[in-house]
Amino acid sequence: MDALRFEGVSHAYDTGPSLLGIDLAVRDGEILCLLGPSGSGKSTLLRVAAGLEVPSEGRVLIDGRTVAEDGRSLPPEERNVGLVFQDYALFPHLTVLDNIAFGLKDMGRQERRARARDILGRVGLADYADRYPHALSGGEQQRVALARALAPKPHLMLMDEPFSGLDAGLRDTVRDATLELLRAEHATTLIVTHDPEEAMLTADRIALMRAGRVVQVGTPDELYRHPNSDFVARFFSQVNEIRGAVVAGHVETRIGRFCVSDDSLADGEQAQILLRPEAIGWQPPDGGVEATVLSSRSMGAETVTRLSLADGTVLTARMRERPLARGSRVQLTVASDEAFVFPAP
Amino acid sequence: MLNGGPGAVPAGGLVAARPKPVRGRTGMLAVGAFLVAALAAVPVVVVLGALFVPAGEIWAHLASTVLPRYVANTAMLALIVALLTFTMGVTTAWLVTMCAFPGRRVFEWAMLLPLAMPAYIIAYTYTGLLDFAGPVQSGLREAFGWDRNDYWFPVVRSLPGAAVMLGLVLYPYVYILSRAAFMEQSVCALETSRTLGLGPVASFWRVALPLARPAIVTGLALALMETVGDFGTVQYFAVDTFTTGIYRTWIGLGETAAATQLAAVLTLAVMALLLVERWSRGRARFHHTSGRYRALRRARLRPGLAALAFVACLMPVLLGFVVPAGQLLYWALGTPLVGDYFRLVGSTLSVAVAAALIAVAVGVLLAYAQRLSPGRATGVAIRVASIGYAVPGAVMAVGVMLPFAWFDNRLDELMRSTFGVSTGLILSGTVIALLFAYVARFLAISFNTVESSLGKVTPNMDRAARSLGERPRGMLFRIHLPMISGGLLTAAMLVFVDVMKELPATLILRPFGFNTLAVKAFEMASDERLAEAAAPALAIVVAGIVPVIILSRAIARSRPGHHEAR
Repeated sequence: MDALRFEGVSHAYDTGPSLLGIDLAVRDGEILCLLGPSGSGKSTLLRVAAGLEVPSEGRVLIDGRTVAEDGRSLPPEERNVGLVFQDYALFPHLTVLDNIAFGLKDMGRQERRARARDILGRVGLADYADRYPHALSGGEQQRVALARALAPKPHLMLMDEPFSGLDAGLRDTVRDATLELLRAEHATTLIVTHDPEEAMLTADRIALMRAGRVVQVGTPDELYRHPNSDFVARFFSQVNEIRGAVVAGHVETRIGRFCVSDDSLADGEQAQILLRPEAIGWQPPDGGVEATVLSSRSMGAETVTRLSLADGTVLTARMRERPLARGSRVQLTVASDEAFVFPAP
Repeated sequence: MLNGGPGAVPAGGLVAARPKPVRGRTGMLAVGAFLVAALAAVPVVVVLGALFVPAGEIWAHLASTVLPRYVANTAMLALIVALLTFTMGVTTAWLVTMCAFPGRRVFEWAMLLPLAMPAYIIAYTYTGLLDFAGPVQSGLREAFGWDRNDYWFPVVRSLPGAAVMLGLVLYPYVYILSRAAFMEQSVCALETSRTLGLGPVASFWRVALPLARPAIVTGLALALMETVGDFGTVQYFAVDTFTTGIYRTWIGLGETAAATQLAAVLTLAVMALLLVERWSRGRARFHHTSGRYRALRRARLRPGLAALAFVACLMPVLLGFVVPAGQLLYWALGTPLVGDYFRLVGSTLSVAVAAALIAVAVGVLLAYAQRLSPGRATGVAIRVASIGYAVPGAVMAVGVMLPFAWFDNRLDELMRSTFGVSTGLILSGTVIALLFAYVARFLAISFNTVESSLGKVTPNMDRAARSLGERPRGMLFRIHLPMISGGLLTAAMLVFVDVMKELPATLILRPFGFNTLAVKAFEMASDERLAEAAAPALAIVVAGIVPVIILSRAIARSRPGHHEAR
């Protein structure tokens, strides 16, 4: 059974529609990332799941129980979901322990404190029980927020940009610790992020959203390697774009011939070929497509090289070799099987 | 050579281009600022100094006669006002911030209107309305055929009556601050509370209210400072408190030492409130939940609840502003103006304008001294002088009167012994003493306003201007003045209006035969000539609306989460 299901969910703010018929299921124990640019509706979808927004149409189910339907909605306090905000929203007037015990009900005072202490220990903050939130660092606050949300053993964890408030250095450590804890608790989790790299590092599956719709759902690898639209392809990395017309199921360009894999493109139509930087390489001159090096910079593990073709087209390549001299001439190799071919807009 | 080409820069040009040492000039500024701030701090220091003067007999006398009554009455008054302002202020702030109901947008600013109504004015207006001969009781008698002894009606001129009057005009302090706190609270905190299993009502009590607590305490402290410092209302209602005690002991009995002792005790009480206010402002920092705001989703109320919310917000505005203002208008229109009305307006405007200009000039001096050469001595002097705002007008009058009289007497002695001429009183009992009291009392307003607008001019802007070749003087006129002129105007208007409303200090310090609108309104009301008091009172109320407008605009501009962050 799905831990969370959206069936044709639509929603609008006073300013305009925000969700347009979302169908999406989160499997039990899964970590699903809602990824998308700002304004795509990902936060709204999370808030619908939490019960903070009421969908105008459609149905929401948590563990098979309908929690929203036909514009009616179960209030958040009756859903047993855990919520972690970007700013953590710790209660500044309560100690760390009281923050965590806040959502624990139907148990004695001793039991509550014991349960709170237990989970506090598991996020590695056992010694911080009596401190106040303002005395904690950003990473510690994030862990308290996580512990507070997990304490009542929610059916569902909802996290809105949970790591974006942290410094780059701290983010990786906190993310790893968070994921470990979520897996240990077997918590079904919905995470909102705008950062594709973070989504790929976090998610079992990613749902990429745009303008109130889910564009594609799949594992990080599926979305990266098999995008179903140019929007998805462009969202995960910078891409090189070449245009050309379809002739007999192929597009002939000055850097090679590309196969049209599906039947979305008929002969004579304009196509756009998208190539990730790592699909472009080079070899010593021997008669292939010639290019001039505009710039070549080492990023450490990789080298980013900008190349200019004879007709002025500029391509970006990313590979492991050492940087090339500016102005030197090279032969391009193109991994044409890694190219994405879509109709030109 | 950066400019002018070769040869254009005279020998030594590079040296001359280096910034001149400015220590000498800012040193002068610091000394000047210290002297001015110290002068403004004199009244507070004088009154507090009375605490260290042995006054055994006076104390014994006070303690055995009036003191217990003053303490009890003042405390009772403060308690009731605290309850009233808390209830009205917090409820309306919550409704207006968190709920959607008809009229909400109007109430957002209309809730502030009672601030324009000085307590002593609302007090005599309600006396006129609700007294035995007033329209309400007369109407009841007529409608039901009652006679004098047939019914019970609450006595307006009583301690509870005074508390209600004060509560009606002071609740906006609590309203403003708790509303700001409710808006600043990250909505996320409330939403988190909901997902952790608490309903909306429980979330209010367990999260929203505790988070707003520092702000509410600050608002209450401000309201109570005004309450214990109030003179007009309690004097008119014949409730004996510290302020009326000071006035009577000084003016009526001529016992300056006893009056000063009373003033000192009252100042201590006010300073305790001031400490509470400062402390809870500091606490508020820790109660700040977020730098990230989401536009509020106001709860849409069901029709029945919406009607209740509407009434809850309407009542304070109606009773605290609309009804008394309407009554004043009715009286004023039906009564010929007092003969010297325009002379009255003239004298009020001239002292208010003079005080405003001086206060702003001093405020600018202090703010610049603090910016350019921050020093300990100046800082302390400014802080002591700022206490003046919290000091009740009656106390301020005592604090001004004593040193001025001392100075006059010493000068007189000196002149008589050396030249055989008597100079008499050359400062006390003049407009100078009055202006000095106004500036000492309201300096904090102008200083704070100027300081915060000067704070918008960052040091880097100064540096950018200097590096673009602007001299300090040009910097002042091209950058500072345009940026702070709005703040200066605001400061001047705030002081102007406060001077217009000021009653007790004016009453005690004014030169013989000198009247302001506030004094005239109070005197007429005390003589039971309520209708004639209306015109001057109305002028004060109209002027009082100006700061309300300034305030509500400032609030609207500073609103966090005003823009949609989604």
